[in-house]
Formats: sequence, C-alpha cells, structure tokens
Amino acid sequence: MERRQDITSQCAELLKLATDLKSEVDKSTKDMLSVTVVRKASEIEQLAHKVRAGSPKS
Amino acid sequence: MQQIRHTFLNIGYRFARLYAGLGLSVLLVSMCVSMSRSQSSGSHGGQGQGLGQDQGPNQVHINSSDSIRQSPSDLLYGNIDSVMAERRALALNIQRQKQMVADSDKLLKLTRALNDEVAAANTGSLTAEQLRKIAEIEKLARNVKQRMTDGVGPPPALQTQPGVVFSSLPNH
Repeated sequence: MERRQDITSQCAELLKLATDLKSEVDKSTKDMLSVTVVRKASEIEQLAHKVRAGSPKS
Repeated sequence: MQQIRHTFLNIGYRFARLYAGLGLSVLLVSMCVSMSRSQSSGSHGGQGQGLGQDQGPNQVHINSSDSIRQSPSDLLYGNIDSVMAERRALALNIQRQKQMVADSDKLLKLTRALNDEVAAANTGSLTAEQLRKIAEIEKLARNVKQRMTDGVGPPPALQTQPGVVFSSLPNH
C-alpha cells in the first residue's frame, strides 16, 4: 500500500517537474544558459533513476 | 683694391652656388634612394601575397619576416574565417536549442503517459514498459541538461560567472 503511494506520488512529481522543465525550456533562447533548466533536468534524472532502481518488476 | 674685392666677392658667389648645387643634388639622390627602397619593399610584399594566393589561405604565414606586417589577403582570409566560425556557431546553437525543445517535449509526453498509466493501474509495482519509459525519461533529462550546459561558443553569462551553473546543482 505504501509502495503504491510512493510510486504514484513519484510519478506525479515527475510530471510536475517535466511540466516545469518544458515551460523553462520554452522560455529560454539559444544564447541563454538557464540554471533553472539544468537544475530541473537534473532533478528529473535523479528522481527517475530512484523510481527505476527502487521499483520491483511486476 | 676695389678690383681685388670684386674678385673675392665673385669667387665667394661661385662657391655659394657650387655648395647650393651640391646640396640640391645630395637631396635628390637621397630622395631617389628612399623611393627605390619603398618600391622594393612593396614588391616583396606583393610576392608574399602571390605565394598566399597560389598555395591557399592556410599557408599565408610562411615567411617569418612578413609575420608582423599583415597583407590585405591575410586580413581578408582572417575575416572570412571568423565570419564562417560565427555562422557555424550560430547554426549549431539554433540546432542545439531545437533539439532541447524537442527532448523536453518528448519528456513531458512520456511522463504524462507514465503518470496516467500508474494512476490507472494503481499497483505497487511497475511493468517492463513503464520501466522502459522511466529509463527514457532519465535519458532525455540528461540530454537536456547536457545540451543546456554545452552551449556553442562562449556565452557572456558563462564567461563572467563560470561557477554559477554548477554551484547550485545537487550532487549525484
């Protein structure tokens, strides 16, 4: 039960981060180095790795 | 007495004319020498320029004696190189931005699909397909991060504050 909630909340967090990332990338230009984009992408990468590593296959 | 004085004056006048003539001739000779020197140096530079045109733009700086003085062809090829490099950097930057937008778009679609699947299934485990999607999400996020940090050419913000980009990042 707790594991199920974890996966659901982690996927919801991934969706929120991905939405934020898309918004930030759309705001950035080719001559711009956005620290927010780098940070969000790094958070998504880490969270995805955590979900994948901690999840047993069904 | 007056005749002697007149004779001396006449001799002095002739000497004065002689020295004036000599001075004028020396002046003319020095002018000719300087003109011939400038012509010879001009022809030498033209020869170097011809070498550059014959052997291509990469071999313009063969003569070490001409390295200080740049010929017009050097300046022209230098300008062309810099313009080409600027255009190439601009094209690469545009391509990088497009790929980043496409990656983030794909990442959002995958995350949305995964979230819908997980919410619908409501189980405590993930399927192989869902795990593959998560791996793809991870890879896309890494690509976006890499593309943002690997800007083509030195952006001004990065040059002035190089530590800002990585200082606030969480450690892996």
